[in-house]
Amino acid sequence: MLKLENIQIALGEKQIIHDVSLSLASGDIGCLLGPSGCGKTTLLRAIAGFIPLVAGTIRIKGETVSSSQQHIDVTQRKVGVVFQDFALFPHLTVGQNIVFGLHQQTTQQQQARLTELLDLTQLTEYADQYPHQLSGGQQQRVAIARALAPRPEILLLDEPFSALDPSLRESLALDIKTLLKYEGVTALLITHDQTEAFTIADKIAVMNDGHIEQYASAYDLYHEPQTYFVANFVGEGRFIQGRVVVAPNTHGVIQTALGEFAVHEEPALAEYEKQALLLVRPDDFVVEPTSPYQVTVIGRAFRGAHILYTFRHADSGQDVLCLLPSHHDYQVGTTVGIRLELEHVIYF
Amino acid sequence: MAITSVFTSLGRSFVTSMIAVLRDTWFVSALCLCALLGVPIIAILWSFTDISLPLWTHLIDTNLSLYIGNSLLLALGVGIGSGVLGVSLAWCVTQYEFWGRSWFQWALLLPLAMPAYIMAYTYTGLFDDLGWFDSRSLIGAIAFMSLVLYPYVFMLAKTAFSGQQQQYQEVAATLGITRSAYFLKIALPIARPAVLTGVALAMMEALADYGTVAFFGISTFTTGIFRTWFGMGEMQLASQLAGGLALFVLVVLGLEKHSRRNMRFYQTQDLPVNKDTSARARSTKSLSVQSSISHYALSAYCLSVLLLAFIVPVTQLCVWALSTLEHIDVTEYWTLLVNSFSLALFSSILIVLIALCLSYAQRFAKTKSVGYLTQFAALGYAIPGTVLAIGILQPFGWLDEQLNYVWYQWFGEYIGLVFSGTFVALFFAYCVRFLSVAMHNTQTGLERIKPNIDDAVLTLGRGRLSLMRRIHFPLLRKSLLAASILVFVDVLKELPATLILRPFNFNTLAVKAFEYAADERLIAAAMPSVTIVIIGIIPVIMLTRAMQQN
Repeated sequence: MLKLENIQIALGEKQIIHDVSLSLASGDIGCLLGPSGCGKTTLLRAIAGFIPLVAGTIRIKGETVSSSQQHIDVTQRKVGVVFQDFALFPHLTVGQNIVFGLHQQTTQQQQARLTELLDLTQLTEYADQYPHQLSGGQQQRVAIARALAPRPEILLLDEPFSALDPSLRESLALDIKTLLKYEGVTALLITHDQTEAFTIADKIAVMNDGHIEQYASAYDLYHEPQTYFVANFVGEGRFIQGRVVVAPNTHGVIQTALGEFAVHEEPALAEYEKQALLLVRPDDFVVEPTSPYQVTVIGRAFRGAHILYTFRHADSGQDVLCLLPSHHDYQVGTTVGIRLELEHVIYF
Repeated sequence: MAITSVFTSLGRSFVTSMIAVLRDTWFVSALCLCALLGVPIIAILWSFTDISLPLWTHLIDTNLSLYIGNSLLLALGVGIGSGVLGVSLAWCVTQYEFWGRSWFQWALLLPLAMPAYIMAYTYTGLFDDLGWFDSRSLIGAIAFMSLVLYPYVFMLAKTAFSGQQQQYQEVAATLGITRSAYFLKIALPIARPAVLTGVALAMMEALADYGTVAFFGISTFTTGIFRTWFGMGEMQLASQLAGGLALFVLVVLGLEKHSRRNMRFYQTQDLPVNKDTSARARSTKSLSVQSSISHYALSAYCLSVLLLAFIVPVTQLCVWALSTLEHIDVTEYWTLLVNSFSLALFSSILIVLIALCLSYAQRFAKTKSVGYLTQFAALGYAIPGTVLAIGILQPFGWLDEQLNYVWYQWFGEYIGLVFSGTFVALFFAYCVRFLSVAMHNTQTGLERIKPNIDDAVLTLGRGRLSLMRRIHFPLLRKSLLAASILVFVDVLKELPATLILRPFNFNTLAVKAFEYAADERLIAAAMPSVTIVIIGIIPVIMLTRAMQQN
């Protein structure tokens, strides 16, 4: 549906996007996740047709819309965009905003599409109101309805929840997901917030410094990050020092201050006997008073059902994060016996 | 393989350079416009290439010290007078509750509608009738100008005082600071940049004034420039004097900008705050209620200023105008009206269009320097009308001379004056002088339309034309209208440049009022003056509305 091949983009002299490839199947919701300044907005604007490419191609439904030689104008692209600040036309009503892109259709067709979209976005009673009379969530739905109205091949959403109240974001994100799935539209959203990405997207591309680090499902990003950046950026976690060594009946083990763990795949020869960093997620621990690994509580943050502890391993001086059910109530300074249970051994 | 890649890269560089040129069209047109608008300044500077020593020695021996001294005294006096009036009135209406407070808040802006020269004729005529004293003096000029120019300070100081957070005052009160100490130690220093801006505006107007000082026979830079040009026929020297005056104005402007830059941290409270908080702050704002005597004293103070600055002169003008009503020359008045209105209307359309072009250039051009260009073009408002007129007459006169020379070579006849002494010169002067007024409105209007709106229109498959027609124009309509009205009224009130540059025998309301007054026919001057004042009230009302909306 959407296919990006080896894209390079420069703004002025500065190269923003280095060699990005990505594809999105019809009806899927994709997400570009990354810290600010990683180039995700630039990539989105290039797909929309606001920025030309230096190299590579962008194909929508098999048709090349952007390449170094070719650049189909924004107005001809059939790409819908939902802007960060929604960019609703303040002097037009909700209804007029939504039908704005249907100028080539007859009034009846416009009316039919409007009724359908108003119904879908639960905005029927607001059709004659002006944008400033609506709440943030309603304005967002108008923006989405307006972008969906001309039935674009692909819908792009630029940080769609950043203008909304944080406490509402997750539930709104679910509503939007239902809406997009109902319309069956292929969508790509960009965000810096992983919760939003996890809620709404089928597949997430983690971006860093102009390239894609990993393109995978939320589960895989969390449990099987392929790069140090992804491991660090997605989810909470700490790294502890280790060393990969040869061991009988396995591909090898990684030795750390908190135990030895068998690696899943045979490491390259060069990796043996080198320092490595093992990823430890807060949910990888079990409490075991008799464990040989004793740690001291140096911080705790109460989170209702759970408490997030910061433990320090006295022998090695390394800190780890550990999420335990609330009934494990340890005060700062107490010593706890723990054991690491790693389902996925991820090291770099 | 190699050949194709060469072609590709050639094609690519062609595409990128085309894009660069297309983007630069905005830059190029802005550059041309601004260069054109800079012609008067360049002409004034150019005049310094030919300095005549004997003339300057003569001038230094005779009048120069008078020009400098009187202009400086006038500017200083008006600065102090309008500053004291403006700050004290603003403090009264923002801090105390008294009879008529909410009414005074906007009524005290009304003197803005009175051009200083009309104020001067009216009072002079009034005092002559009463036989009290002769107000034709520097002190009189300072007093009258302060009375019509204090609203600049009042307006800015009022916004600054009412924008100050209630918390400051509460903190001060808990620290045991009295209200007068609070004013001196906290409120005034915080409001200082705003007050200084207002004072600087008033001082610039005072330096630029020609009508009042000419009528009172005071030797200042502006009257000196007139005398040197028209009386002595020394155009070069007049230009050089104009350069001196422009320098004075620029110094005032520079001081104001400098003081504001150092004070920028004070402006943080001007940032848009959370609506709830600001609403709460307003509702809890406690105005101090005075005992009945001081209560009336405050009302009396505001009322007396308003009486002196607006009610008395306007009433006097109306009385005179009514007394002339029966033997007024209707056709002459009608001609004045049509002349002034068509001049103002045409200039306002022209100026707003130019302002719109420059604002769009600033929006679409990728080059940062367009911002500097437009700032430079907006400097024109600081150039006194007299200076501007001189700066236009010289290059336009030269241009006409060349044109006639060439024309004569080709066609064997002269075509006469094309630029100088025609409407071209007049419109050009208005463009330079009032562009910033219009640009302020078009710029803020355009800035309110966020760039994402443009992008949204394009992604919905509508072209650039429909972006302008369906989105920008409806959203800009109010700003364009406001800009046109402000320019219209400014052109209508403008005196010195119109006086110098107008085509032969072409009279406007302002010019005629000045001519009647100069001939001591003060009563005859009343009718055109009243017309100017009444039309001048329109922008004051607009201003009040805008302030209330904020």
